[in-house]
Parts: sequence; structure tokens; C-alpha cells
Amino acid sequence: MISIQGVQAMLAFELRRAVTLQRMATTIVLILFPPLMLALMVLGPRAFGEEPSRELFPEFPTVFLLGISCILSLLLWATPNVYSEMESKGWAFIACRPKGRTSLLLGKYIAAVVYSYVVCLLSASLCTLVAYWLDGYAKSTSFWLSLNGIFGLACIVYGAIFSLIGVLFQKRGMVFAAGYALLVELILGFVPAVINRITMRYHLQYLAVKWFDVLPEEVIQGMELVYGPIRSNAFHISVILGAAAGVLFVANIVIQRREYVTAEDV
Amino acid sequence: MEPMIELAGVTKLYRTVLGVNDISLQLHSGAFGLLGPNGSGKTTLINLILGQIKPTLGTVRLFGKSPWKNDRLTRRIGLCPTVEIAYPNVSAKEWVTFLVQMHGFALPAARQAACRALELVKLDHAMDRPIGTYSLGMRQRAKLAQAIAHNPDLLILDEPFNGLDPVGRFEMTEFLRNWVHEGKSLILASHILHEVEAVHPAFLLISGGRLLASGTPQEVRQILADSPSEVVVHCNQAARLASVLCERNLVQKLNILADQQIRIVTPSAAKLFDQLPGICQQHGIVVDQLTSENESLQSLFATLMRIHRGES
Repeated sequence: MISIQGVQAMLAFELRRAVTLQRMATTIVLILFPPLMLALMVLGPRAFGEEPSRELFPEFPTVFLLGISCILSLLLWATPNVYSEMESKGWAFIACRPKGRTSLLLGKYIAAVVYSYVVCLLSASLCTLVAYWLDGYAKSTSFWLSLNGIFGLACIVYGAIFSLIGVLFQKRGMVFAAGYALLVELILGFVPAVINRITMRYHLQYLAVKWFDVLPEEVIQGMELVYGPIRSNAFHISVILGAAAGVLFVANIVIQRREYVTAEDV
Repeated sequence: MEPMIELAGVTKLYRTVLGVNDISLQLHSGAFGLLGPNGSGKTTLINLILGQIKPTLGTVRLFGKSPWKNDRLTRRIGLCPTVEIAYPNVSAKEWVTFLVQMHGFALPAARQAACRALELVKLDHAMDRPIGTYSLGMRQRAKLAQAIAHNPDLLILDEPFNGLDPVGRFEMTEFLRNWVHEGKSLILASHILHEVEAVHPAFLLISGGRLLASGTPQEVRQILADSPSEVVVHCNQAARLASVLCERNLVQKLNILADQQIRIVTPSAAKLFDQLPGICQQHGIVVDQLTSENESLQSLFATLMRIHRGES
């Protein structure tokens, strides 16, 4: 059972707490990093009298840059769900409320997803403007919609995975989450074997390929040979949402059953 | 009548560290002081009662049910932990409202309950200010407000007097007395004994993870009647009295502090007090003053600790 009131309260309180100078500064950096880098990628070659490479521009640099922002944002928000409360001593107050642990997990997860999605949305909008303004990009609207779709799903699933990591590893959760992002999603995702299909990157990558629709057919066929077949949108979306729900379910079981003890409690 | 709290052979190990050791007790509704030095196991005991941790051995029951993963029970408890509030940019009103909402209250009802609780702890004048601007005493009041705002049956306070000035301590004591007078239950963990004593007499004394004694001070004094205790006697013939007490094997240790003052450690205070009038009458000794450390909870605690350490 979930306390809707509790989750709502946790979400509202978490977002209210976020209104600090430090968090605002981090947010601005996360929002501006991708469009600034994209602008540099266009303006850099032009400064030397060359045109930027037309191939796959601006889709894939944007996806890559936004991916970094999205993962960083979720790392900062979703992973320290338990640790931040243990550290700030809020745990003792929250855990002794009815469904307090579940409310904490879900409230913080939703806050992380909302925050990261808003960061991605603003950043993607700026990236689209940059692409349009500097390069006269023709498919701006579909580009923007595709970006938001991909990063909405990425926030949902990676937020859940990082929340589980935060629940499992009270200390050094960020290290484990970064390790997961690098080892599983990046390295394992590029392994040309069935194992890469357990990564979320596999599904997000194929959704991006279909939604951006810029790759030539032979390139897509080559990708399918290496990484596995492209399935329907519904399949990839279902796997992503199912994985998020499953991971959150496991995280809830862990947070309910685990004894979180600080040195002060002993 | 079903006990409010029941522990049966409860032991809690944090890997190799012993939190509490074989504690058995039954507490009916009422007020209790949980006394013990730092690291004695008070917080572990509270966490076991709250169901935040599982006992390694034994069983814990709260209001007749196991508190572990029992969310319904948490509605009946208000906890004011010893830890500091660390939300500097949030006001006490926002924080307490949030915690009341976590009990399932809708926002308007939670806000109302929070304001009422903050008024009760006399923090209503500053409740809209960020917690970061509060003094230690104000933060302590805010912590108390979040514990009582949902009107619990049992209030558990861990070192609530920390950081309070004398006026704050008095007000806290008065508040807790009223709480008890209203027929609600209270567990007050502290190492400041006179403050616990000022609220209520019943107590649990814990040290090294073990429950050393429980009950009212009178009940514990009864336990201690035949236990070693320290007595200081002011009389006109201190040396003579010392000699007679030694002859009668009433003394374990003796110091002559001044011509007319001796400190006695007796193996049985009850026996000493029983025989002392006869000795004085028989030897013409006039006792001006007799003080026993057992007159206060502080000395009771010290004596129990000595017994526990095997120093008696």
C-alpha cells in the first residue's frame, strides 16, 4: 500500500527544499551545458573557416550532451534518497510516519524525475533553438518532440534505477550509480551480444533511431546486426516502463525491510 | 490489561556491537524516564520500540502488536529524536505541516494541526521564519511540535532538554507534566536526571545495553535497601560512632571527613538506619544531620551503576 498523501507531501517538500542558491546554480549549469556545447560545435569550425560536419548533425551530439545532463541530474537527485536524509538527520522524523519509507522513496523519485525532465526539457528547447538559429535546422518541431520523448523515458527508468542504488547502498551510492552508468549502460550497451539488451540504452537508442529518422537504412541494418533487432515502439516503451516499475517495486521492498542505522543510533 | 510496551528477552546486535542485551520489561500506559549514560542503549531501545530495527533475539510488542513494519502503530506515536533538524531554508510551519501530512492528513488539516502544535510549544511567533535562523532551543521546540501535532497516544522524547535555557527547561517540564496529566503516555530518554525527576517519578535505568532497574524511585529504593550505599553523618562524636559501626559490621568503607563528620559506605542501608537510633541512644551520640545519596534519582543512578560495575 502507498500513502498518496505521504508521497504528495514528500514531493512538495522535496521541491520546496530545492529552492536554494546551490541547487539553482547546478540547475542552470545542467540546462546551459548542452546548448552551449552544441553552439561551440557549430561556431568552432566556422571560426576556422570550415563548415561543421553535416552528417547526423545536430541529432546525435544533442542526444549525447543531453544524456550527460540527464544522467548527472538524476545522479544528483535520485541516488542520495536515503543517504541525504540519514546525513541531514531527516530520516528519524520521516521513517516513523505511516508508510514513511515508501513515501520517501516515491516522493524523492518523482521529484528527481520531474526536476531532471524539466532540466532536459529546457535544455532540449535551447538546443533546438541553437540548432535552428545556427544551422537553419528544418525539422525543429519533430526534433524537439523526439528529444522530449527520449529524455522523458530516460528520466523515468534511470531515476528508478538510481533510486534502487540509493536504497541499496546507503554510503557511496553515487559511486555505484556512476559505476552502473559507465559499466552497464555505456560499456555493456556497446557489447555486440544479447547481453546488451538488458541495458536501457538498447531500447532508448532504437527509439531515438526511429523517432529522429535520420539514419540511412543500411546503417540501421548494420546496427541491428551488431546490437540486435529493432522492435516496435510499443515494445521498447513497455520494456522501459516495466523495468522502471519493477525496479521501484524492488526498491520499495528493500527500503521497507532494511534497518538503516547510523553510528549515533548504536 | 494489555501492556503498552512489552519486551521479552530482547537483544540487539549491530554486527559485533551490542546495542541492548537481554532486556525484558512490561510498561503499562503512563510516564517513564529512560535514564542512562551516553551509549547505554537508550536510542537502540527507542528504535526497537518504534519498529525501526528488529531485535536479534526476543520479541517487542507495542500496543499488543509487533512494531516492525507495522505502519498503523506509528500513527499512535510521536517521536522527538535527539538529532538536529537540518532544513535551514524551510520554516517550522512548513516542516511540521509536511510531517503531519505524512500521517495522512490533507494539507489544510495538516497546516491547522501544525499551527496548533507550534502554538502549544510557544513557537507560533516565529513559525514562518526559516529554521536556519532559530536558536537551539527554538529548534528543540519545533521538534517537539512535530511529535505532538498529530495527537499521538505515546510521546517518545530523546534528550528533549538539550540546548534549552532555564526558562525553556521549565516550560518543557510544565508541558510534559500537562501531557501526563491528560492521561497520555510518555517515554523521556535523558541523562539529566533531575529534569526527568521533575516530570514524573517512574523510570527505567539502562546501562551497557542492560536494564538495571525499573519502577518508581521508591520501588528501586526497596531493591536497594540491602544494597551498599553511601551515608554522610554529622554528629558530636564522629570517631566513637565510626568505632561502634565497625564493631557491628555495618561499615564497608569509612572516611572521617572532619571532627564531627563521617562518610560511611554500608553494605545495607536498611540495617544501618534500623540500628542507628539505638546506637546513638546507647552511646549518647547526637546526630545533627544524616544525608544519604539515595535521596535523589541522581544517587540512585550512581549506586545502580556501581552495583552493575561490581564496585559495591
